[in-house]
Amino acid sequence: MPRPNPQPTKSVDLDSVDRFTLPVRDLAKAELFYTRVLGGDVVQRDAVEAGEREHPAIRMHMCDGVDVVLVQQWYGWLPVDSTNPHWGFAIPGADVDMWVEHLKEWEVPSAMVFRDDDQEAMGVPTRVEVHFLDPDGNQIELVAWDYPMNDRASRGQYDSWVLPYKHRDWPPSSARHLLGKPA
Amino acid sequence: MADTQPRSAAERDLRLLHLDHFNVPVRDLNVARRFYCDVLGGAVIAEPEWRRLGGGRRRGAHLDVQLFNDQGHINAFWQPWGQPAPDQVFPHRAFRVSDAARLDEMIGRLVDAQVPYILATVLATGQDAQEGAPVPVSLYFRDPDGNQLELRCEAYPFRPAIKVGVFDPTLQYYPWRDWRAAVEDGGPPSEER
Repeated sequence: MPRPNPQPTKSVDLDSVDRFTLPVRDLAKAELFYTRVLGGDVVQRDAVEAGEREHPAIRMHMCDGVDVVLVQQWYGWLPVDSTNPHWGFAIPGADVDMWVEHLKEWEVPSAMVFRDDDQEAMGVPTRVEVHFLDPDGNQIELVAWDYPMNDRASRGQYDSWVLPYKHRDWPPSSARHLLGKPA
Repeated sequence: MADTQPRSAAERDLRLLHLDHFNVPVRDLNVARRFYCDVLGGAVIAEPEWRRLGGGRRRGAHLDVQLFNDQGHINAFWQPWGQPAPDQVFPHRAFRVSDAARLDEMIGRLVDAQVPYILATVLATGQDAQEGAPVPVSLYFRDPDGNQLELRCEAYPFRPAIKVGVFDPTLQYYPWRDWRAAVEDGGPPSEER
């Protein structure tokens, strides 16, 4: 049996996520990624995040309960072989193959993995992860808990070195004209 | 690659359902347990699994914690590298609290745990808050590994001690080693190192 999805067992003191902020080099490029590739909706294009100064930002609604704020910050990128921090979103198992194809079409490398605890007989629904990076190297994970076990994904580990791609070369030439245009 | 414009997620009818989890890199899982459970009030929903670390099948183990009353959880991931710099504010994770009383309670816990914090608000241009008037505030602080966190309260009575606008993020720094000294080793078991 695949491991169960851990569920809350009691009420705790904090209500919910307000937002996650992610550092990005170029707001227009990041907006294109989080809208067209990930399906988010712009909530506020002239947002500001405070720190040692005011940082220009774009607030996106990504899914039920989660807003992501893309914030211009010129440093703080993850090492290539660091997989943490990352942000994991649930998707239906029926959409996993289409997400992988979708990322490929946008020239975003991804890695699909069945963890050791989730190995099952072929065809049996189990947990699978799809890992990829945004153009700035922030790591995103898609998780499905009902994807049929198959032989197309890595098992146990995946090679994080397959994920990086060049910020300056993204988006693909066929989508460059979309930069700066609302989705 | 073909010259055809790639289709958007919406055109393919692809949507994210909800948060599954997010994580923070930490140097010691028992330090993280003390902070996220004892100070912030989270509940452990899955203990770390170290078995495959020694065999190279894992690069870390994680402690899963229910931190808020909504879908998704945080996992503190044992990764003793990649922690943010003291002046790095982003990425950060912000959570909502129900009301001002709850925020005051959380501030009290940070004080007891000797975790430095900054209580700040961003007012609209030209706005001048009166003492006692409700304003949206953000309570900024870091976990012992330096991961930036925020608690957000939409209506908190303004007082002069609330920082308006920008702040110095380095004021949130505190030494991890003091927390590590106060707990049992929460790294890999010796046979897995």
